[in-house]
Amino acid sequence: METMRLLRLIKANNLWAPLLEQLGLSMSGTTFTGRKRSRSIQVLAKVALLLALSSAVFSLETMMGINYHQVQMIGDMVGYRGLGIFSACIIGFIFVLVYATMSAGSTLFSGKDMALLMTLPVTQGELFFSRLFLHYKANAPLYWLTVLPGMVSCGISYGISVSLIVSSIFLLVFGPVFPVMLSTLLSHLMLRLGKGKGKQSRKEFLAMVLLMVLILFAQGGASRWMRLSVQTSDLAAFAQSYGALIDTLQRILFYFTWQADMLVGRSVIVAFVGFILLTTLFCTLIGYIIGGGYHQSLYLAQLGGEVKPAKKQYVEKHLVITQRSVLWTLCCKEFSIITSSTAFMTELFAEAGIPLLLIFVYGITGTLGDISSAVGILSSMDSFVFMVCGVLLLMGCFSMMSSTSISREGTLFPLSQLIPVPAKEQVKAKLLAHMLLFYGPYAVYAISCLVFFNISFQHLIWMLPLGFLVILSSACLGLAIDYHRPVLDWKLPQQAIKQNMNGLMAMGGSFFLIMVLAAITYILLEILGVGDFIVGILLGIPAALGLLGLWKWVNTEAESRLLFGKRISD
Amino acid sequence: MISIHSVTKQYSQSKPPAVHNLTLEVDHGEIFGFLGPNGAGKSTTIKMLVGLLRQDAGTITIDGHDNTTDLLALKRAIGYVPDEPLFYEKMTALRFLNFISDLYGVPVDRREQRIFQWGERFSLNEFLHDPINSFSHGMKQKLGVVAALIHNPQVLILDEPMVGLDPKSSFILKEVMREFCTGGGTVFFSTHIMDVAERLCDRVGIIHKGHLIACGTFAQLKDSTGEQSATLEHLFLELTDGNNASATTDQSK
Repeated sequence: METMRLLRLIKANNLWAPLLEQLGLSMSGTTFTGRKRSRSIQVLAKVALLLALSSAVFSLETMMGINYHQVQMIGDMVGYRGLGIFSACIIGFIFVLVYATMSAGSTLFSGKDMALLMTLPVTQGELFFSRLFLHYKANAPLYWLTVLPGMVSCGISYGISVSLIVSSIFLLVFGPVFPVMLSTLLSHLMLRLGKGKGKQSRKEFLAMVLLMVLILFAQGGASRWMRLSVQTSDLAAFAQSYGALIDTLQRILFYFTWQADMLVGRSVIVAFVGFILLTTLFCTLIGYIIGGGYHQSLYLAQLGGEVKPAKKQYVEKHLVITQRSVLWTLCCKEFSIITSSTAFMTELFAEAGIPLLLIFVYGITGTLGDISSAVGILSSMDSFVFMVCGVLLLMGCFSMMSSTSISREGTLFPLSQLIPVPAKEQVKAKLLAHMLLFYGPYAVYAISCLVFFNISFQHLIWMLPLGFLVILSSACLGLAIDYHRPVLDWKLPQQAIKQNMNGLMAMGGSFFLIMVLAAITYILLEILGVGDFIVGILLGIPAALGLLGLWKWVNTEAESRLLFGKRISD
Repeated sequence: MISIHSVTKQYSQSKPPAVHNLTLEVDHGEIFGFLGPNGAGKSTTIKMLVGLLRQDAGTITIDGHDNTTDLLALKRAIGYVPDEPLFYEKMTALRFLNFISDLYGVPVDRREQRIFQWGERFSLNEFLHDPINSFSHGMKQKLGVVAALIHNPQVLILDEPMVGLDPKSSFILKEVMREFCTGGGTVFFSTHIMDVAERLCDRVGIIHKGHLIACGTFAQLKDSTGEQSATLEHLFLELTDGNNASATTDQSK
C-alpha cells in the first residue's frame, strides 16, 4: 500500500474545508453570494458565529456532564470508581454505532464518487482504508462530544493528572475506532447477504430501526431490573441493590470497564493493554473480513445501484393521470425528496415523532413516573400551562425540515428555478409540507397534554393558534436561512442535513423566538398579574408580528434565489 | 421570437466575461444552432435565456417577455432540455410528466393525449411506469424532451440534445425539431455536432471566448469567408482557431 496515494485519496474528499465553509469560518473573504465583505465585518461575523456555536455546544456538554457526574457520584457511594466515564463510553459507543451504521453504506460502498475511484489505479486496500478514514472522520466528533463530558466529570471527581489527560486523549482518538469498524461490518454483511439486491437506503433504515429497538429493550430491561429490588432508604441496601447490577454490567461490558479504568482505575496498565489488544484484534478481524473482498462488495453495491424496473405495464390510452393544484404538487415534491434518502427520512420523520419516542422510552425506563411526580408539584403553578406549551413549541420548532429544504434539492435545485411558479407559491408549498409534518403532531400533543395534565380545554383556544404562528415563523426562519445560503453541492445526503449549519442556525433562531415569548409571558403573568387565558391570547400578537417579518424575509430570499438567477458561485 | 441585445455576463472580476456584448435575434419558425468550442459561453447564454442566470448588462426577451421583469411568463413560453437531465429520479416517468404538467397547468385531457403522443413517438410508453433511476442516459434525454414539450411551448431551447441518443432517437428528435418549427415554434439549440447543425439549422451562430464571431445561414457564412466548398466544420475550425474573431455576423437580423 502506497502511503502517498492513500493520503491523496483522503485529501481528495477535502477534509475540513466544507465544514469550515459551512461554519462561515473559511479564510476566503467572499460570501456565499459572491459579495466581498469588509475585513471588520468578516471578523465580527466569525466571532459572533463562534460564540453562538460555542454556547450551544457548551450547554449540551454541560447537560451531559451533569448526568455523568450524578452517575459517578452514585458509583462512588457504592464503591465503584469511574461509573460516569463507564456510562459515557457505552453511550458514545452506541451513538457512534447507530449513526455510523446509517452512513457506512454511502461512504464505503455506494458513494457517488465510487464509480470514478473504482476505475483509478489504486489497490483495494488503499481505497478501503481511505474510505474507512473518511468514515471515522465523519463519526468521531460525535464520540468526542458524548464522551468528553464524562472525562471532565472524572477530572472534577478525582482530580486532574497527567495520566488522566494522556489517557483521555488516547481514548478520544481510539475509542471511536471499534464502533466505526463494527458499523462497517454491519453494512458489509447487509450488502453481501442481500447480494447487492434491494436499495441501500432500505438496508440502512432497517439497520437503524434494529439498533433503536435493541437500545430501547436494553434500556427498558435494565431499568425494570433496577426497580424490582431497589431500596434507597439506607445506603447499605442501596449499595446492595445497585451493586449487583453494576457488578454484572462491568463484568459483561468489560471492554468499557477497561476504557474507564484507563482513566481512573487502579490497574491502568492492564486496562490499556486489554483495550489495545481487544481493539486491535476486533479491527484486524473486521478489516480482514471486509478488506479482502472490498472490491467484490463495491461491485455488488454498483449492481444494487442499477434499479431494475419492477413491473412492465404497457400504457395505452388509459393513463393514470390526475390534476392537482400547483401548491399540492410542490408539497408532494417536498415529500418525494425526503423519501428519496434514508438520511432525510430518519432525520425529519424522527424529529416529528420524537415526543412519542420519548414517551415510549421514558415509559419503559420508569422515568415517566418521576416526571409525573415532578409535574404534580409544578401543575399548581399559574404558568404550568405555558411551560407545557413552551416544551411543545420547542419540540415543534427544533427541526431541520425547512432549514435544509433547499439544500436537500442539491443538484436538482435548477428545476425549482426553471418551473414557471412564483417564488411565493414555492415558499408556501415548503411551509405547507413543514406544517403537515410538525403542526399536526403539535396539535395532537397539545390535546394529549391537556388531557394528561388535567388542564382546562379552553386553553386550546390560544394554544393551537399560537402553535400555528410560532411553528410557521420557525419554518419561515429556517427557509429564509436556507434560501440565503443553501448547501447544494453535496455528495452524501448527510452533508445536506446533518452537517448543514443552516439547521443549527435556524434552531438557535427558533429558540430565541420562543425565549422572547417566554419573557413576555413572564412579564404579563408574574409582574403585571394578567390572567393566564388572556396572556395566552395576547401572546398571539408578538407571534403574529414575528411571523409577518419572517414571511417577508423568506419571500425576499426566495425571489432573489429563484427568480433572479442568484447562484452560489456567482 | 428570441431577442438578445448587448448581453454581458461576467462570473468574476478577475476573469474575462463568459459572454460579452452578445446581440442575436431568432425568428418564428426558425431552427437556430448555437455553436462554439468548450467554454465559449454557449451554456451561459442558454442559462440566461431560460432564467437560471441573470445577465450583468443587456436585455433578453422571448416571445416579448423580458427575462428580468417578466420571467414567469417567459418560462411558460419555453421548453428547456438541459445538457444534464434534471429529474426527481425516484419518481416514475409518468409521475414526473404529471408533476410537470401540474406546474404548467396543462388540463388533464390534453396532458393525457400529449404524454401518449410524445411517449409513442420516442418509444417511451412502455417505460412510463418505471422509476426514472432505472433509465439509461438516452432514455432520460428523451424523457427530458417529452417533459419540455408537454405544455406546448412556443420556443424550444436545447443544450446539447443529441448527446447520448441512439441514431433512431437522434433522427426522431431532429424530425420533431423540424415539425415544431413548421408549426410556428422556434428552436434554439447548442451542439458540437457540425453535421447536424449544417443539415438541420436555418441559421447558426458561432460564439468564441464570449464573443459572437459569426452568425447567419450556412451560405452567408461561406460567402463571408469566401470558401464556397467549405463544410461547416471547416468554417467553424477556421473561425475559432487562433484570434480570428472578425465578426461575420448578420446584425441586420
